[in-house]
Amino acid sequence: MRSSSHYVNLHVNENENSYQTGTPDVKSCQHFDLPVSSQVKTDSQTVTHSHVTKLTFIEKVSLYRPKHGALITRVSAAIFGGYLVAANVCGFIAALLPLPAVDATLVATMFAFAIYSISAIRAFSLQSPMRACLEPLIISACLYAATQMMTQHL
Amino acid sequence: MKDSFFRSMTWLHTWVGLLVCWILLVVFFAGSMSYFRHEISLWTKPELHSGTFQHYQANELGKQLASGQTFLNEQTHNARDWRIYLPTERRPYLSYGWQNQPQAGQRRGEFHELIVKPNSEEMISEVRESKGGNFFYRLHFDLHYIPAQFARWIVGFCTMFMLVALISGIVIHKRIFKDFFSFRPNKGSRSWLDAHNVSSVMALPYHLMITYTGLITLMFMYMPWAVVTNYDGDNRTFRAELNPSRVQTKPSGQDAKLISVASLLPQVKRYWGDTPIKRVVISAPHDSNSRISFYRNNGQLVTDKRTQMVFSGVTGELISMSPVEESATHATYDTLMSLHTARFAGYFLRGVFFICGLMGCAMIATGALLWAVKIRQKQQKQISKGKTASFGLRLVEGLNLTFIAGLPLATSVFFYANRMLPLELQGRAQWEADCFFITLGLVGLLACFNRSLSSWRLVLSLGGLGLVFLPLLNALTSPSNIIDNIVSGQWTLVGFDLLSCFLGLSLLLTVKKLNTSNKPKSAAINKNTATGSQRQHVAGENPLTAKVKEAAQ
Repeated sequence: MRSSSHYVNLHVNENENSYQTGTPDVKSCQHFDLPVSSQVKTDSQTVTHSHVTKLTFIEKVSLYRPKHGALITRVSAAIFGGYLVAANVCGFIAALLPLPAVDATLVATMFAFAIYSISAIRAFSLQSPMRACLEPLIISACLYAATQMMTQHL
Repeated sequence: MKDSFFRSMTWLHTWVGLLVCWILLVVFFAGSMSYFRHEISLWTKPELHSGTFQHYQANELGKQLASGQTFLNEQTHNARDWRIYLPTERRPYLSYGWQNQPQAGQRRGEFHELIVKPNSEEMISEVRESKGGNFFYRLHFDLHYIPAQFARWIVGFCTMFMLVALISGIVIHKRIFKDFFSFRPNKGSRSWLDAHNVSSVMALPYHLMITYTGLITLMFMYMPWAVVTNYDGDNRTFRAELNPSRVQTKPSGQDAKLISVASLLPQVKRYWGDTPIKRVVISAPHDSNSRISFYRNNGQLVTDKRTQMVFSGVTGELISMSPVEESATHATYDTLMSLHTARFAGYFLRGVFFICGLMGCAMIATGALLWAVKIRQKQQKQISKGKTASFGLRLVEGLNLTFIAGLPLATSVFFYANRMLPLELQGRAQWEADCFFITLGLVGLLACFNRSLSSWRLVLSLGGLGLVFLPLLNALTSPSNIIDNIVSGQWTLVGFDLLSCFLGLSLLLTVKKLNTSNKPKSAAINKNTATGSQRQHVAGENPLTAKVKEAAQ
């Protein structure tokens, strides 16, 4: 059901606002294109109960989810986030290993591609796209800080 | 992402594979051809086919080096370096070459090479301009028509996709050992899936190795961050430490007399014994900083190192020698690089690698065809009602036809162009490459209009015929035909003729299987009740499974 007006249909999991007998086991979602009635399971009839609230502009913006938003976040998390993680692991291992500089560089660089593919796969195996996006960023930041500390650039 | 990890990985495998599979097909195909690039280069130069081959002769070395030095001294003016290539197993001829100084705007100066006929001072200079096997070699990482750096990024990107596709493919292949032995022909998309599984799993170690080592060969470009961390981004220092004997000294500008190269042979022999020498390079001749480097033929050692001894060109003192001892890490890196290039491989192992490469092509091709067949099945209901197939399906089917059927045809056109283009044509080498891509373009054009089985039959049979008649083309356009080559023992040329004949025949056999199918149209009408059920017998797809069986073997 496309919401073309300023109103958005919000579903909440708590019973207070729902008229159905059981709680629908669906996460509260804000996809505009999901029909309301499919979300509500009642035993007698499908009721399109919805509480329609007028949102402020800021709320509309923050709730906006493009149609393939989840996919795009995961793909970017895999391609760019994965590279970020691999690059930082590369630098970290190069600084960490007690081998001569040449050898440490070689080991770190050779290893980095395995890390890249693993983090790309992880981005697609996590349940939440937001987590898939944040995890590489946080890991990269920690590794970067650690590398800088080790090479005393901080 | 989806309900379960398994389903997410299935989705991922499909899309990661599908989006870049045609570029990967080109890369795998060109890479497999590259295993034989010296042999292909030899075949594309018929001027060298008679009377040029010779074996490496240790006792002739002094004479060959001396006459080489004399010749290069007389012929060249202000060359950047001189090279004397001694006969090896894969390049069975002696040649003298030199590289000029680069002109304005060039990265490298022009390179000239003259082949020396055995037992005489005669040299062959009029060898036709052709990229030969190096066309395929460069194609598989530098692509074509685009700047090399950009192409390497694209290929690297696609290789990462391939690596993820391999890993996700392994993960989703729950019954990996059971499925390894199942091949159910004539069952539509199930057969394609079986063919895909077999061609992937049978050469799985190879696929993983070649993909990962492919990334490793260009790893300093893709992941320079370790160098950035440890060397502050100073690539030069890092390279010098990595390979100290490869450092090039700049010419000083002062003239100095060059000593006789042959006089250094006793020293070389002292350290290397009887190991064959592959080539001798004299850099900055007649300069006080000149260097004479001897490169050893490493034969079957699993190494990519250019094992060399460097002498001063003025005094003859030994400046550096490739270290025999290297760190474990360095040895690992070198081994991984050499696994990819397979320079150590003798002919049998090279043939095995080649077959594995072709299985990689089969894996990619069956994957793409599997997707197209499955999606066509899904959309069959709508299609028989009169709707057109979706854009994605038409695009994939068109690309499948262009690359899977078009690549063999383009290859045979390349070889025909090599023999038939006029010798005096300006930029001849590039024209041969252009013919390859023009053919691909024409097949692509055909695919825009007609993606049915008849197009497949047409393109595949043209490619098959082209390859089958290559020995005949060789006989007509070269001084020695296949019989002569067998008699004189020039097995590389015989091998090329026979292999192309064999590949052409297998393509023609495939077309024959396609011809003996039931008419696909009636089958589609009869099966308009086909659902996504994989066991559904879709008669029109039968013969294609046989084709894959051929290709996968």
